[in-house]
Amino acid sequence: MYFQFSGRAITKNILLLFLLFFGLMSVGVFASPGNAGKGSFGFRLGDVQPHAFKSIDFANTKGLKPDYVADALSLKSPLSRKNLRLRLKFRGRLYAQTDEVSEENLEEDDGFEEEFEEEFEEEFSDEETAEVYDPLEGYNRMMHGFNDWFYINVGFPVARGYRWVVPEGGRLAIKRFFHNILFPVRFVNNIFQFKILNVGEETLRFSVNTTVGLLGFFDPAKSWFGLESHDEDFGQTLGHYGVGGGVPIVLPFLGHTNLRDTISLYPDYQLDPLHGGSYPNQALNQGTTIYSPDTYQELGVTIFEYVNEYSFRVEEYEAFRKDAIDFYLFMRDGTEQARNQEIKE
Amino acid sequence: MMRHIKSFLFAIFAVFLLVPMLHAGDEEDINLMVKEKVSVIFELLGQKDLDKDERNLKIVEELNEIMYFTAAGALSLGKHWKKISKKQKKEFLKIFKKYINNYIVEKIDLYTNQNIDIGEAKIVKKGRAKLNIGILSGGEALQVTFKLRKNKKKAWRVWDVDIEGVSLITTFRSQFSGVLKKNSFDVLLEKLRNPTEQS
Repeated sequence: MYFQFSGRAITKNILLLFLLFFGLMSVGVFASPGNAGKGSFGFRLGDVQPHAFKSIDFANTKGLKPDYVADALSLKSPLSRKNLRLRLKFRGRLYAQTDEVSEENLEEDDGFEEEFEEEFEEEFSDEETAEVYDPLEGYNRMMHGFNDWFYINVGFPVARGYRWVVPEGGRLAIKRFFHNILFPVRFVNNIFQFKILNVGEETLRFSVNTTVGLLGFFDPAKSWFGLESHDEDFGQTLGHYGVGGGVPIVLPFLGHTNLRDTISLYPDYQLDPLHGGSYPNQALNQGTTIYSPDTYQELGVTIFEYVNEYSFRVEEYEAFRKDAIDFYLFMRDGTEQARNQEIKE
Repeated sequence: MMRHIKSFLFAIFAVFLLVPMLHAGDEEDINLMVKEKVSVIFELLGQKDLDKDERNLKIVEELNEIMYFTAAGALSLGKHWKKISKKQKKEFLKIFKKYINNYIVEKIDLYTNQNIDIGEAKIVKKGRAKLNIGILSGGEALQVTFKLRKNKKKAWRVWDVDIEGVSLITTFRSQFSGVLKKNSFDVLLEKLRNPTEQS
């Protein structure tokens, strides 16, 4: 069981992959399937007036604005004009419709004021109604802005290019591989929380998927034997024993989290076979290293893992970003709620 | 005397028998309502010859029929709901409804043939219910919970949606109160009319 990858060869390959990604970036932006006509790069190839098309995009317009009409009517292209007429027609109908219905609804629920006054406390727990203590808000907002810029301008174009090259099946297999190899993290944290049945299920899953599932690229444990995965990390272990999240923190590249989960990154990192370099050495003694990465390899692997993950989430992120009233608050509270749910499970 | 006791006992028995049945009726109502809507929406999603905008419009109309905008709007505003006038409330709800409908339209495009598994409705307490839906996406099941309550006309309506434990209304509320902390109510209305891309 001794095979050590040659460091230089891997670094070189990763560099090549990177060049490929950035090369494809430009292709991915304009031609990736499913991208046409939506998202922040939302114009179709061959559209005569990309600007005009975007400005009258049904999904992008939030109200019937006279300047849109004037803007588009001044265009020379008959194609755009036809497009506009079509879109205005539908949008007009949508708003005419919703106006009517909302008036109706309000009449129907007349006297609504009293009905809801006492219900906030009842509907939501104290935790949820309390104001969040966010002393780092200034820094957080800045880092949130940076991350957002990074995702939109670097991460997602790369992910789109990658998605264009690698079919969904392949990307799912890679995702399963990364998930499978994190077994030690789940194993230890399930033990910490005394979820003994989950420990057994995870161990079985790892044994089956690593062998029959070809190093975890496939998941026969679930599809054949119905064994479910139980994601647990150290932050969840702490949460399980009542440790609160603490102040919200936005980490560069990784995004929104809180103090508890930031500190918890370290123990999980030590258990991560792909990243915590010292772990295989310590656990299996010298000479029996499965894989001992250097910094560049680790970075390469991490980036690859993230690009693969982004490739499933680009549209989601963009859709939520577009509609947010305050995207920072949306992300902060959304991640906090999601974490609380994970701890509860 | 004996007769009276007997009929009294029977009455109690009948009540015990009927109460769960009434509840079952509620649950059945919700199951039917949601299943019917889902099947109609899937039919619309499957119609390839329909114009995309027209299709989305129809889906939004269908969904509006089972949504409870007054509750959603009021609970999104939280404590600020008490502070505003009735006229402002109506104005807010009108804009909020448009905002939600736009929100839905954007999300429709995220659908790409995922499998959907509709659970059974559960009454949480009087006038409140839950229904779980699993969406199989990217190799994992996404848990979506519809939260329902009875409106004045005793019809069940959806007022909140949880996605993997993240409540839509709670995210709205934190955003709204964040805006209202520094700005007036009109600023919030303006932001709802035109959600900015970058904030």
